[in-house]
Amino acid sequence: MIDRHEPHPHYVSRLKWQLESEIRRRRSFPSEWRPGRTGGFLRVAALVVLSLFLGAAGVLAAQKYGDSWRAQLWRARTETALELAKARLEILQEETARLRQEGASLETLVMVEEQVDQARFEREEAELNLQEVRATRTGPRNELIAPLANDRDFVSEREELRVTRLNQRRQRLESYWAEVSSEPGRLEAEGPLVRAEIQQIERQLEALRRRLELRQGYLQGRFDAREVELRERLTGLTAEVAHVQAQLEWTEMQLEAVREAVAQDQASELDLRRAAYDLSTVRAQARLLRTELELVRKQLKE
Amino acid sequence: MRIGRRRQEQTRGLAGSPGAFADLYDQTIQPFYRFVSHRTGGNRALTEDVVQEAFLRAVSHWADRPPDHPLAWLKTVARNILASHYRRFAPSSLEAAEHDPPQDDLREASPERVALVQWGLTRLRPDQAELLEEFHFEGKPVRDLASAHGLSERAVEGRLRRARLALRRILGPRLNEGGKTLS
Repeated sequence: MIDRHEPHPHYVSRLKWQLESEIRRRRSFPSEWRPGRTGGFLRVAALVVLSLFLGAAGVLAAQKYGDSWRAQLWRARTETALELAKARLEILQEETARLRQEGASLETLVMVEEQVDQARFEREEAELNLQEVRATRTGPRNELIAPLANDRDFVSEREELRVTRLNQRRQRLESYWAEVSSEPGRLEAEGPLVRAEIQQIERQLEALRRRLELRQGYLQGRFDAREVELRERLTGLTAEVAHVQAQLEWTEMQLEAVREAVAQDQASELDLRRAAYDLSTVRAQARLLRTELELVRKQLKE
Repeated sequence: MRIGRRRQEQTRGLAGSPGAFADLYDQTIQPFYRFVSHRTGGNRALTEDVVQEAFLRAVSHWADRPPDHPLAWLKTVARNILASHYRRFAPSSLEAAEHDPPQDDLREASPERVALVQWGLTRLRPDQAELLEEFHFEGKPVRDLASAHGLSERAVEGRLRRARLALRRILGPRLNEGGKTLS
């Protein structure tokens, strides 16, 4: 049993982690390093807005009972978020039942059922956040280097919830597509959109899978905090480079199309200059991203 | 050369060195937590908040250069945070017989009693509050206080007595039986 004047080991390690993260954050953003009047003002302004949102009564009550006001604020905020999520889910469920009774179209039903699933996910996420706030007495943390809270890994639990949600969305899209794709004209009209959406979901799932791997690596001690941050940045940058590469190809095609239009007097020189400017902007972005990617890779090797 | 390097480290401060901060943290967290906890009557939530707030301020202020005595720096910050907290705190009345055992050491007193005393201390003259705090929260004997303040033991006892009387006048209306708070 811990003496009442001794800190709980969990508290000691959590605070240490928090302070080290704060130092790392400040080191990453040197301009924020020195506390200034603006920073103080913004913090105060944020607190004022938060207090207004929750009501001064809550703060006073927290002081009266001698409990931590910060923990009270977090709990009140997450409890409110949970109540809102529950209410939203109930409304959407009633709405779906009504539409079903009225014999709404398949598209409408798919759309509202999707909203119900999203609302259910938000409720589950809010419940998880509340459990974390109760365990840690501070706000939910989703950084990969966040410590365990009462032996629970809330970061992974939240990511797994998102994986479930994305799989659900993909499944719904696929079954919807299986039902309507045989209808004449739909394949051409909706096919590319549905495929693009499914591809996007797969990319998101892949990103979540990588995050979960990094998280496990960190918890098992295979990566330290710095390495986790760099690897996460590397994953994000790789995805951005791929995205900008696709954008680059599309912009090059656009420039070529404008050039042909100018040759046929269907576009002006100004349109051509604009398209060329767009292309050079995307090229510059791509160069910048590649440089950053190389830097992160070098840092990882160090 | 070594001194030069140390100076360089100090000049650089902790901005680029989470490891150096972690060392200071490891050295100070236990005594600092106890220091705060004694002043909150073991109110864990409040203690944790104050300790966290003080260390977060340290992260900001030690960026240029950590102080020569980090623990003393943290204690000063914690005193200010606690004073600010207890100044706002409106204690409810206490049953004197129940909450006011005649003891000198407040380190094992209940959070309610400590909160009431702390509230009163914020309304005392700073020198009186400091003396009472050193005696009742840090448990320093009269002999040590006399030596630290350059006074005779008798003078310290007299000052303690007057400070207690002043505190009792402040707390009197809040003690249901007009009883004593400090022996």
